[in-house]
This record gives sequence, C-alpha cells and structure tokens, in this order.
Amino acid sequence: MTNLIGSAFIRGEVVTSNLINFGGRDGQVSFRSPDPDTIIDRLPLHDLTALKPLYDLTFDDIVDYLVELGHHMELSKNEFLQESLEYSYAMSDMTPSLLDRQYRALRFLFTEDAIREAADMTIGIKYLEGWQSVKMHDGRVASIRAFGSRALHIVAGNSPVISALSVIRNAITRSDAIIKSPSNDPLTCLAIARTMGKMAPDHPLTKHIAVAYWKGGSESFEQKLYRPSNIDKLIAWGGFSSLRHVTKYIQPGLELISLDPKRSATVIGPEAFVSEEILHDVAIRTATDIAALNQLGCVNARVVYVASGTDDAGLARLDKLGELIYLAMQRLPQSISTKAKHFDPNLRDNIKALRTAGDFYHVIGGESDEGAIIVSHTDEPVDFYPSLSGRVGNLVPIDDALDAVRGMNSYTQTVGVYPESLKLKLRDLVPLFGAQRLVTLGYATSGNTSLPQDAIEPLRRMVKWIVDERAEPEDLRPHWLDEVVSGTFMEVTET
Amino acid sequence: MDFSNSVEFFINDPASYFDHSGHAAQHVPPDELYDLQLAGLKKRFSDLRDRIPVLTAVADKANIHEITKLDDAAALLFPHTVYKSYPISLLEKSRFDQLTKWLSRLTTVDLTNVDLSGINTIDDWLEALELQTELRVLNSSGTSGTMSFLPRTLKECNRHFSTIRMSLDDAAVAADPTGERTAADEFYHLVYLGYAEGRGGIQRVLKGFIKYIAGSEERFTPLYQGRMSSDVMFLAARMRAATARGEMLTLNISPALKARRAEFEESQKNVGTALTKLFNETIENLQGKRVFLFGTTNHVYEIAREGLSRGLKHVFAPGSIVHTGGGAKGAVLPSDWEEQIQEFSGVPKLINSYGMSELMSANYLCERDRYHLQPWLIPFVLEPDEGTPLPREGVQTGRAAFFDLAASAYWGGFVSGDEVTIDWTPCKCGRTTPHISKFVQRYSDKKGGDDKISCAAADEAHGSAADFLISATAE
Repeated sequence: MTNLIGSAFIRGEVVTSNLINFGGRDGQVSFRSPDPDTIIDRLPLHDLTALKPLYDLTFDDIVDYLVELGHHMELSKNEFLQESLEYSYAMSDMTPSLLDRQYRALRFLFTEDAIREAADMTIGIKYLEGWQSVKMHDGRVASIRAFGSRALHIVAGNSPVISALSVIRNAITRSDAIIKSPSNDPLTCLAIARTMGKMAPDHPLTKHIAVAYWKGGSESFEQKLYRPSNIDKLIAWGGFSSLRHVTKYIQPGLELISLDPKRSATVIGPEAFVSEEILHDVAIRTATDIAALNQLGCVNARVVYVASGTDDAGLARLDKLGELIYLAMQRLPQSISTKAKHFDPNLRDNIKALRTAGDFYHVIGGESDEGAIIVSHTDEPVDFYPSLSGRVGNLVPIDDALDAVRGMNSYTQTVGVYPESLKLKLRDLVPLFGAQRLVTLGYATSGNTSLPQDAIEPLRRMVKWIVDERAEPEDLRPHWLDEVVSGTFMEVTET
Repeated sequence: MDFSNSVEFFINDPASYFDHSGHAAQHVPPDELYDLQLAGLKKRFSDLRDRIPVLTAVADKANIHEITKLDDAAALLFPHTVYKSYPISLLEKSRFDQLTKWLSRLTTVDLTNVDLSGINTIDDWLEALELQTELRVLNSSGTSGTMSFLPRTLKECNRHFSTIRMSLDDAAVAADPTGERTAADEFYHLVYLGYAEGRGGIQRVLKGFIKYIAGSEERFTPLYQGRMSSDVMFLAARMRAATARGEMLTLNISPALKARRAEFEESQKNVGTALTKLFNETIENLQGKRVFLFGTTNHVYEIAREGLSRGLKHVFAPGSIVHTGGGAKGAVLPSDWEEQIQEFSGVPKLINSYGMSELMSANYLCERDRYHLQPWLIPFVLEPDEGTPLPREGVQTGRAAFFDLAASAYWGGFVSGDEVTIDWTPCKCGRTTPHISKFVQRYSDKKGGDDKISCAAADEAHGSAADFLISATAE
C-alpha cells in the first residue's frame, strides 16, 4: 500500500510530477504526492479576472452542475471514488462497512433540494444571483450582492462528507478553493475534483478548485501561501493544536472561519424511567448518539447526564440504563457502527483502571475494545472524558436535569435531549453556557448541513457582502450641503 | 543460607544481597536469575494476593491463585492509570476521607485509623499520612489534569536509594572506563536541577543522595530551594487541562489553597532567576571540583548552554558525574545536546537511565548504549493491544511492563505507557541482564495523544500555576 499516489488537482489539471513520500497517521500507510514546494506557485489564483466566468453562470447553472456531479458520484460508476474508497480502508479511522455507507451516500449531498436549501437558508439565493435593492430609512437605495471569495479549506479527515461539503459550498458561493487534503483522508477530495475534471474539464466551477496535500504545520510552505495576497478566507476544521497553529497567519485581509474542535453531550430527563418500553427506547437512542460513525465525530455523545437521582436507587436505575445502552450499541447496524478500528491504548488503560475503583464507577463491557459504558457513581464525568472514543460513553447521575448545564461550555456542540419537553427548557439555558445545537435524542449524528454549525453559518461566512449605494440630494441631504447651526456642526437628519 | 532465605534477602534488600556491587547485580547468570525472579514473584504474590484489595479483585477475576512461571503475572499487572483511578472531584472538593479509602485498596498499610480532621489540602493530606503511617506517597501530575498517588513506604524508599547507590557505581564505570575510579568514601558536590523538597520520585530519595553522595547538606545545591507543593502541581495540571478543554471559567480553587497565597508567593519569588542564581553562586564556584550534576535532560542542557555562552568549558574535575534522565519533557533540543553538555562539563560521557516513578530501579546505559534492567525487575514486553506477553527471548518490541520485586507493601506489577525494544540475548558489554534500546517512545505520542505522565514537566508549569493562584486570590 505504500505506492499509493495522491496527485494534486489544480484548476482542471491533474499533477503527478515531483512525487515525494508522506507518512500516513500512526505511521501506518504512507503515500506519494507532489512535492508541495513545486506546486506552491500554482496553488493560489493569481489572475482575479479569472473569477469573472463564475458570474456568467446563473444559480440554476450551478445547481445543474452539482446535480450532474451528484450523478457521477454514484460509487459503482466512478473509478476515482472506487480507488479512493479502496485506499481509505487502510487509511481512514473508519471501518470498511462505515466507509462503504458514507461513500454510497455522498451523492445525496448533491441533490437539487439539498443545494437550494443550503444556499437559501444561509445566504439567500437571490443575493447570490444578483443585486438586491432596498430603500433605507435615510433615503438611500442600497443594492447588495453576495460575492464569492478566495478560500483555503483545511478539511478534517474523519469523514469523507467534509470534503464533498467543501466542494459544494465553494460552488454555491462562486468561490475559488484551495483544499488541503487531510492525511487520514488524502484521496476523497481529490477523487471528487477529478470527477469534476472528467465531467466538465473547462467549466468555470472545475477551474476554481485546487486540491493538494502538504503536511499541516510546514511553516515555510504555509507562510508563503497563507497570505492576504493569495486568499481572503481560511476555513479550518480541526483539533486544538492545528487551529492554534493556523491562527498565527490571521491578519488584516485574511479572515479565519474556524470550525473548532468540539464535543457533544446528552441530557436525559427522569421521564426515561417511566416504563420499561420508554427505557429501552431511550437506550437505543443514546446508543446511536454514542456509537454511530464509531464516535469519530464531534457530534457524537460522550458524556450522558441522566436525571436518575444520585441516591442508591438512582444509581441502580442508572446501572440498568447503562446495561441497556451497552446491549443496544452492540446491536446497531454494521453500516452505522462497528467495533473501532483503532482503540486508543490510553483510554483502554483508563477504563481498566476504573474497574479497580468500584466505589466510584461501574464499567460495562470494554474487555475486548468493543466499546463500553462507564457509569459514574458520583455526579462527575470521568476526568479523561475528552478522550472518550471507540464507542465509550460515560453516564453521569444528576438529581435535576437542569444540573447538566454545568458540563456545558463553548466546546459543547451538540446536546441530545430526552424528552422534548426538557429540550424546550434547556434551549433557553444551554446557549448561555456555550452549547450550540440541541437535537432530539438519537439524532445527534444525523445532521443537515444547511443548518448553522458551531453557532455560525459557514456558507454565509464564506461570501463577501458587497454593497452599492445610490443616493440623490433630494432623497438624502449630502454632506456638502451640511448646515452650520450656532457655530457648531449639527447632525442633520431627514424630516 | 537456603534458597528460600536467599530469595527473601534478594527481594527485600537487593543492594545487600549483591554486597552493594552494581557489577555483581549485572552479572548474575541468566538461569540463576530466572529462578531467583520466579521465586521472588511467587513470594510477593502469596504475601500480597489477599492483602491488597485491588490485587485480590484482579486475581479473582483472572482466576489466578498460584504463579508457576513469570508470564503468569502478565494477567495481574496493573495499568499505570490505577494510581489515578479516583474521581478528580475528590481532590477539588477536598474529600480526603474518600481518597484515603481509595488509596487503602492499593496498599497493605492500614489506613483505617488515620486522623484526617482539619485536612483541606493535598500537602496536608500527604503529610498526615507520613506522620501517622509508614507511607511516603509519591505523586506526579499528567497533562490531562490528573494526579497519581503511588503508596510507597519509607522502608521501600530507603531500599530504592540503596539500590541507586549501588547501581550508580557500575554506571559510572560504564560512562568512563578509563577515568579515575570513583572511591566510595569520596564525596561529590551535588547539584540537583529541581526542587529541594517534595513528593516526586526523585525527591523521595534526595535525602539519601545528600547523605551518601554529597556527604553533607553543605555540598548540596538544588535549582529551587523549598518544597514543590503538591497542591500547586495539581493546580498547574488542572489549568493546563482546563485551557485545552475551554473550562477555565469553571476551574475550582479551594478556599484552603487560596489561603496559602503568601506561602506560594514566597516560593515563587526566585523561580525566574533560579538558573542564573545557581550559576553565579554555585556552578562558577565548582570549577575544577568533583561534581555530581543531575536533572532532566532539558534542565541539564540549559545549564550547559548557559555555561558555554559564558565561555566555560570542561569546568568540572575528572571523575565528575553528569546524570540525565526522564527525557526532555517536551523541550526541543539540538541534535548535539549531548556533546554540548560534555564540552561544558568535561565529563567524557553522560550517565543516563531509563526508569519511572513506579519502579524502584535506575536502569543505566552501558558502554554499548543499552539500558540494562536491574535484576529485581522482571520485564515483560506485551503485544500492545491484546496485552499478551511476547516470548522472553530474542529481540521483542512492544509495550513495556514490569514487576518490581522490591515493592513489598504495594503490588509491583504494572504496565507502562512506553513502547520499548528489549533484547534478551547477551549484550556485548558483558552484563547478563536483558537490555533496552535507547529509542523509547510513549504510545500516547505515537497515537497522537497528549497525555504525558511526568513528575518533572510539572516544574515548568509550577511557576505559572503559582502566579495564577497569586492573581486569582488577589484582594
């Protein structure tokens, strides 16, 4: 597998020269890709007039292009995706059955409904399509249009969806994209770009995408590329250290759109224990939020606050729920969740140690890295909760469901809640503590990419809002006719 | 002495067993060593199986009642995380009664009657255990914000030092075979690049170093005077973790810790200038003298760099010892760090050991650059995921695990977080013990994690935590 060649795709051209070796994550699979220093001059868009053809396209043209691209994303017919999937089996943190499902589902991101919804919800298609006039209270007429930008995307590799999403967002906004492939998914974005190149080699949307790999943190390379003269926006998905690293390039003229590292939580109200039937339903929903996509996403549940009560009877209730969640987790469809590909050895040690501290924890499963439920018997999560992965959840007993807010902060993305009535109470409260998305229990990993993410609308942030103001002296008193009253300038407003 | 008595002698006082000869300890014939180790392991297991509750639980679960070969112990090794398996909120809420109960499950020492009234800080808790029991708990903090507590006894700490003293002798010869043989009755000027007092692995044996290696307090200089507070160390770890987790707003500082503001201020006064002060007042005056300089690699390098920038070269007398260990603690050193230290100090080779707080053993590099394991240490190389022991022969790479036969009041078996390569074949240096390659890496680094358990990295964080505490408690 070491002879894998990840080419670069630069605005319609596939580059396979000057290949050098890159190690994959964990030193497991390496791949060859063009030496970044040999392509750096071609990565940024130098001729800004080249953006003009994007504006000769109507939004319908863009939709048509993406929908057609969606048809080409049919896995059985796309050799680039097939090759990418084949290598992803070795390189991704996901297991083959999950990757199969994700790859098969890629094309559903490219449906007309999905594209129009994303554009209209976050920007407004009419603003993408042309100038929208509005008469302002002071008499001027403003025309506003959303323009694309030159953006560099540092995408995450935990799901191929992120690569596809970046391509779609670039097209919708009529932007120019340089996409840095992640080392744990170096081929998906490239496969999509090559599909575009084969489908419509001279189309403006194909001509405004560049995909390459360089090692994140290569300072001399990044210093040359991450400049306002080359890009307007830097869209970074990623971990704490990679984001920390990127912030040093941010300066006037170069904006950061940061999709920070996040964690998600779950709050379960006392209603879960009303009947056996409800408890089983809550268990399978919680199991899904924890284990879908093998807990590789930021949307996955990790710490689960349960209003079981903290007395002995409450802890017994919680232990029972833990057993049910564990069983439900093991029975999830293989296309959604499997035993983890790599189980974090530190986490394994931590779980092993908790088994010896029975006064404080009840550990269910986890003996063979199949996933585990750690039931806290104090009202605190385990200290290593940020490293929960590989289908490991931590149930924490609380007396009042609203106590769960103390576990929320600006790193809390999704909060799965049961029941809905509790969600209505929490939704006015958890945003004050930092949480960003509330969702019906069981739906944490089932997202709609048109909706806000991490409390921002990434698509809206990707465009530049340009305004053309028209004013006539009879509508808006100009400054050159300003009056001097009693020897001082007064603010003059229309009457 | 019959075999069973010699086994007891070997595990309870290894230094005397080898007549305080590091050379003898490293030259036991392998077959003889296997028998000694197996008998020692059997003895420890039968003594401790039903006296250490956590061991009892683990052995019951594995259904092990008897040891017949060394590999039987593999299923009984504790993960290194056992010593921090309590809920961290117990420390934040000063629940030392519950912590004591937790700790009592890991030791044979009876803690039921320890009087904890009025105890509000970690320092006070550990002091109470020291005053009322034979425990001399070792603690260390990791970057995930946790703190581990290893329940060692005073007897074990003394045993530990006596073996270090013995092994050093052999290590000094390995480092400088042509140099002057260091006479045991000759003392060194001892410079330790850390806190003079505290509850880390080194500080627990520092008194022995002062007594036997420096000969008196006058010939001892630490980088930092005073005590490294466990509370401040804990706070430093919490801050680091809270920053990474976005939890600074909710970081709890107990009122008891706030009340000690003046004490921390005093201890922090000189930290910033400590290195310069150490240089001006001590190192400059030690030129031409026989010196024993020890600390973590990054600290020793700092000293050398400072010295070379002052134009000082080959400053110490022949026979001096420069002892590094514990890695660079995250600092990035130039590739020639070793040469720079040698050029500054004048020692022909540095003494370097592989070890960890959990082990009462310093395993020194030999002339062939291999770390030799001390004979009272039973090494295991485990398949990293399954935890099954790899064959005790040839060259094996995997997760390092050890059974420390010198541990008598806690369970000596534990699995480390290190990936090592152990060679069971004879080393060309002539020592008969298994030996480890210089290249050791932590699995957490390998898998992209960030949690490093370390005692000395806390030195650096210590300053900023104390500053934080001072500002957070300002009126």
